[in-house]
Amino acid sequence: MICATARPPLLDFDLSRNKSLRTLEIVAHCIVDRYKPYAPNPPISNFLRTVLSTITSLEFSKVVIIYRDTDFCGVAQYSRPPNIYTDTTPDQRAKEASWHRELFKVFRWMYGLRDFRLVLCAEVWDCVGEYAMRVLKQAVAAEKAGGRLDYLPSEPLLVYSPRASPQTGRVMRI
Amino acid sequence: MIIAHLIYDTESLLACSLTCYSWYIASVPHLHHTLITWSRSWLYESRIGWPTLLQNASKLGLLPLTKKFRFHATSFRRHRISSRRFNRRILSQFSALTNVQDLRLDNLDIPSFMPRVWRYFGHFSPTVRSLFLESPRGSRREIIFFIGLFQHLQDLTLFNTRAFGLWESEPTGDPSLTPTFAPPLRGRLVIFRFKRVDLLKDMIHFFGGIRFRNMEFLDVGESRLLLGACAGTLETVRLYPTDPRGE
Repeated sequence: MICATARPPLLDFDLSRNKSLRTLEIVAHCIVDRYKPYAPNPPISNFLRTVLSTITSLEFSKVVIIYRDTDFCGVAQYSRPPNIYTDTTPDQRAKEASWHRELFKVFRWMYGLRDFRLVLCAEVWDCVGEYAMRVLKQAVAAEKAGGRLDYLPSEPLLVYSPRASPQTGRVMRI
Repeated sequence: MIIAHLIYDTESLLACSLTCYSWYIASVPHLHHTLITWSRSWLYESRIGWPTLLQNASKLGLLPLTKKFRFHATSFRRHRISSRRFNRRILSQFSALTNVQDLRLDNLDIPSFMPRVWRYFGHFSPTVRSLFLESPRGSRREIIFFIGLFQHLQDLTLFNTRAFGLWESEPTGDPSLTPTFAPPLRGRLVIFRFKRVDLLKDMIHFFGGIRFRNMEFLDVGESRLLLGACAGTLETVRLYPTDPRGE
């Protein structure tokens, strides 16, 4: 006989005691896998539901989605200095667009659990910042054109948070 | 102001610094803002790279311009950051890093610096605001003592600290060690792959609590403890839905 024990209900992520919490940041590629772009699996949706439901802070207002270099099609993550391939295939671009669509579905689902201001933050190397912001703008524009952002009182805020790469930013290698 | 727009463009900054004296003065602090000891040759010879880096910068009087310093070392025993890497000349050059605000030390062997750790790292104490420790070696007390050297420390990153189990016991260190300062720790806490829960408990105890405003954690043994300790101050938390502790 197999005896199943109940898992603790994500006690490690209980934010109910944090009364001054304003912002929840979530890393995009952890919500929807970039290489399997379909709705998140049950543990992840359970995680998000639990975390959002434990927030009791009256000051909570923002959910910031963090995009990294690896989330952008065409960014050679391991090359030094990091660079952008301009010859991405239509198939790659379609997959990226599909990933963004799935993410926006999750944001909508999350908004159903709790109201928040949606912020999309590109936390990328300084040399791919412009490209990353352009991709995010296109993703938001595509959602807006399809009428899938109507549930939000205001458009998602796009933010760029540069990381200085060792080869391009303020680093002297001696 | 125009030169400040080029801070991420090293080539342009270098060109500016060669134009005239006033442009040189404006661009050189940006050029030498970050210093990384980044040498693959350390795999073969523990001393190569490190003194050369210091000597070149020291001769030109550039070390006080450094605001961000990363001392990279591999985890091999003889490659770790230990007191064996320093002699009197290297130490005097190392001590010229007087304005570092952001300090990152990988594979720091804290016990090797004891008890004269102040001699090696004391010059960082007044200026360091952000400390990044990757795989630090030492007992709980020694690590807390080291963190307590930095009197104005705001941001702390602890990365990849192992748990001690059946095969290896935690080093004992000196149980009478008490941190020199209780740093304010009001900025950002980042903890990744952190197994030493007792270290967190001791840190909260010795520093009279922690008051971080931002927190980011992944695979931390006792994140509930951290969230509770910063209950009144935490404003932003970054989570990873794929956290192995959350599945």
